[in-house]
Amino acid sequence: MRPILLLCLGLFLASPANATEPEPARATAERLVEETYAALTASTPDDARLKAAIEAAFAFDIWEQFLLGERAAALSPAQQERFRALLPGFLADLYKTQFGQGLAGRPEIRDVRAARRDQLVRAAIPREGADPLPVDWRVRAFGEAHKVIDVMVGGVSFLVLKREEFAAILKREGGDGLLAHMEANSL
Amino acid sequence: MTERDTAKPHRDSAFHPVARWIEMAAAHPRAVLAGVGLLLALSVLAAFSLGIDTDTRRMLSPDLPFQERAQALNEAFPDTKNTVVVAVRGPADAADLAVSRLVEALDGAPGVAEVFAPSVDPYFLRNGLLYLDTATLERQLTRLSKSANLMAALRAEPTLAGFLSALDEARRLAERSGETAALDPLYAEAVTTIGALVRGQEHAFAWTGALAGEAGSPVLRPITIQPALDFTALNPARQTMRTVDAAIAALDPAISAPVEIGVTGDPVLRAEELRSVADRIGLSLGLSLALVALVLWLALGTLARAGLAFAALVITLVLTTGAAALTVGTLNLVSVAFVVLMTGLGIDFAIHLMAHLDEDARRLPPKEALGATGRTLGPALALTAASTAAAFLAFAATDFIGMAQLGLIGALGVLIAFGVAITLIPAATALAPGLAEGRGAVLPMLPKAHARWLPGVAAALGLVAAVLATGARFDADPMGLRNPDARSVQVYGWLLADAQTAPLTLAVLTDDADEAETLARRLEALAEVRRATWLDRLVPKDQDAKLLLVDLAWPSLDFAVNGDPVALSEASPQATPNSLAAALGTETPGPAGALARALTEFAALRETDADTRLEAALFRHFPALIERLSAQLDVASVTVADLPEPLVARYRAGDLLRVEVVPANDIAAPEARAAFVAAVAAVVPEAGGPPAQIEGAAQTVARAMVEAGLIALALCAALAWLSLRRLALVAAILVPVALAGAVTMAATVLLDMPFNYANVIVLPLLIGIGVDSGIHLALRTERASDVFATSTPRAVFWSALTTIGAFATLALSEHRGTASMGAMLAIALTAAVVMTFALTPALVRLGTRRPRL
Repeated sequence: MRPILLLCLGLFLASPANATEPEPARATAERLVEETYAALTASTPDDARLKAAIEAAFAFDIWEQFLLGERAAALSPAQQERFRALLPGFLADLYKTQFGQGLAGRPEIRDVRAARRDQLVRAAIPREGADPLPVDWRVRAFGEAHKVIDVMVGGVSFLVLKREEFAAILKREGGDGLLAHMEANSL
Repeated sequence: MTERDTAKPHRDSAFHPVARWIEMAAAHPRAVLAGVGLLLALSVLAAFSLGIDTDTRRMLSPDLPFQERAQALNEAFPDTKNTVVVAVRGPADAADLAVSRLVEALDGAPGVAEVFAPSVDPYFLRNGLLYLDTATLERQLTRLSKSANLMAALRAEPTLAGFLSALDEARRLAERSGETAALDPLYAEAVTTIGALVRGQEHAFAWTGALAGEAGSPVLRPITIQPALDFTALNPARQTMRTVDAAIAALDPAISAPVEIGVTGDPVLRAEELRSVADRIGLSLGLSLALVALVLWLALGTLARAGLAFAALVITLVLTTGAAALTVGTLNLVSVAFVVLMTGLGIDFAIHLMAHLDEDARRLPPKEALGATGRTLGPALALTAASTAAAFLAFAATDFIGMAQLGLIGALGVLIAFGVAITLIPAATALAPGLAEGRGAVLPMLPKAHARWLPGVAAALGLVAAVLATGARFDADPMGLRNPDARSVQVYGWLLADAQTAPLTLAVLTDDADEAETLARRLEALAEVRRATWLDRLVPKDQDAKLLLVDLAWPSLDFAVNGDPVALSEASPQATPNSLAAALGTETPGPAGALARALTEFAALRETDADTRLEAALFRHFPALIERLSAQLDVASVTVADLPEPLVARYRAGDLLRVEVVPANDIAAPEARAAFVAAVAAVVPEAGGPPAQIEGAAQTVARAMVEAGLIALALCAALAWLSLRRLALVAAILVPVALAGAVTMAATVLLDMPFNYANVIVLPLLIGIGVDSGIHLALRTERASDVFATSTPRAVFWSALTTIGAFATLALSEHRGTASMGAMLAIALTAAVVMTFALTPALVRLGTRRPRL
């Protein structure tokens, strides 16, 4: 278990070649917002487009490493493979559930600020009957590419929340239970 | 010669030097008394230079291996020895606030060279997360992430209304996500705070515990102070202790009330020990003087005679003090008890002489009576003085420096007491002949029918005791001497019970980092060892993994301390106590319902200044929480170079590295301590430190006492044989002493009152008084048809009773060592008198029925 974690950590630490700059981070967030808004507000909800937008914007290696961490060893290679396959759909579904319901307009990118080696891109998502919801996209540079490694609402990290949730499911139901949960909540 | 004496006096006793000296003193009383006065004056002058060292660790030879190792550690790391520790115990937030204020007050204050408090040290505030284990870190960061918006809301509006609204928002979100139980710690803490206010009390909301989900767990926060020692003062750390006391006293009661604050550490323990020894000393002294006066009056018949005996005692004590100043210079906790020893023996010579003089004065004029007493008693007095001094000198040769000093002083003191008795009493009697005669009473005796079986019972008791005595032990732990109710001792117990602060540790020195790590690993493999720490191990492990987790949660942390709160649930009017109570439901089980009920009760108080007080209680610790979280935003990878200097100084001195070995169990218990020391020594024989010193001292002292006791008895036997040439007489003197020793040792087992540095002096005292009594009673038995009709048993009895009266009152002391000395003295002297009375005459008579050797 420990060597696997260290390998993951090594990969993760080695991957970002340089500090994340604000403008490319903002551009990544803008593309994500554009595409997801279009998908969510299409006359017929376009889940495929939403999923494609998520796939294009998110750094799934990071999501996988953080969501599972040391617990990845509890999954067989086949289960890990399945996990990777389900992850984009799961995150797209999560995105849709959190931000698609009550969406009252096109999200507005407001500011970009540094968060250690990453950039937090703040967007306001208009909601029906409520104040706009501030959302932070945590964007990290991977060479030339800039990817979303976390989404935060009110300081609450999706990555942290889902890591805890996955840990509980893994402990309770094992790898198959986790994969079943992801399948049931996946676009 | 009395009519009761049937045998002749000791051969040549008319020309015995003692007899001649007594006659000389009686012939030139004024000159003799002037000489005594001169000696007294010189002794008083000398006594001013006498010092006292209360450090029990210096009571053993510095050449012993465990002492050498401890000395090497102390020389390399002197800061580990003389520190003053302020311990703050209570809820985490309250303890941290108190520590923070105390550190502010103490830093740079008079008597304070350095202050170190990990809980408020910038390094640990910044990097504390890295010291958590990975699972705990992950759990805490998850909770922190979930609470980020709540904290941002509270920070934006730190009022009662803001608190209720933020809690209401958190409640709505928790209900939406089905995680209502996650808020239980916050609800429970709010119930405590509001409930206290409703009852007219105050309880500041414990944010750290409530947010970590560990509300109610008290913490122990140490502040370590390096005193600026003033070695010109009796207590070098006195200024430090004053500064610390003043800083604690000056704390805002609102800060100090929720926590317990105590001060301990070597200088404090020693100072408080001296205080506890002094406490009740007035009562003890008053009682002692009254008892001694009563016993002397009963023993000697008139107040004047009692006064003369008392004067002999005081002169003996002063002269012995002067002799101690000239010979040893500095007393320790054992040798300081020479006062006890010399009271017992000083009065012994005077009482024997005056009791015998009383007997002779009934049939002779005072001057002739003095001569007769000198001739009859002189040889016995000389033999008791020589044999007791020899016995004490046996103790002077041991590695137990405390007892060696006492042995030397005791030997000198016995000779002084003997000299004073045979000088002062004849001189005073020559000047005031009325002093010769007293009441002449004898002791009430058992009927002969009962007395017949007494030797058998005593012998049987002694033999049974000898078996039990094998379980006797010496407790070398200095804490065993101290008053368990003393504040510094209790606070020491707090540190001992906490694995992070345990003061009783072993240590190994090395100049090689690889060896340090190897040693640490080998030692940590032992079941008796909780952990082995050296400099590198102070750097957090698994930093990459931990920093990754911190990095993950960093935006949440940043949001909590810098972000603007977000309305995550549907907009709602600002919450009030009643609205939140209604939303929670007073019938709801668990903390939520309890909070609803507490809020309902609180709502009834809102006419007064309750809102303001509750607001203050809710937010007292909140700014400190935000400060700590802000500091954690700068967490980064650390190395040895980043560690705080005061911490590094405890583990590295020049090229030397200190590997600290912390026990797995509470080693205040002797068995656990012995197992810990033995286990570590098996792996690293060169490990040293207080536990090894305590164990080594216990073994050394036990061995020294047995060896010295046997040598003392052998010397007494040799002297008695050389002087008396009768095996029966030698046995009659020594067998009761040996059995009384067995009874005393058995009593320590039965009463669970082990020998310690304070009470161990009863052993030489027992030998001294036992041998004295045995010699007097044996020689008198040989001469008298009925020894119990003579003055000798009376003198033996009253002499022992005087010592018991003088020092048994020490049992009232709060200082455990002193109290045990009082109790043990009473036991030992009672045993000595009973054994001597029961066995000595019987053994002498047994010997006279057989052919002489």
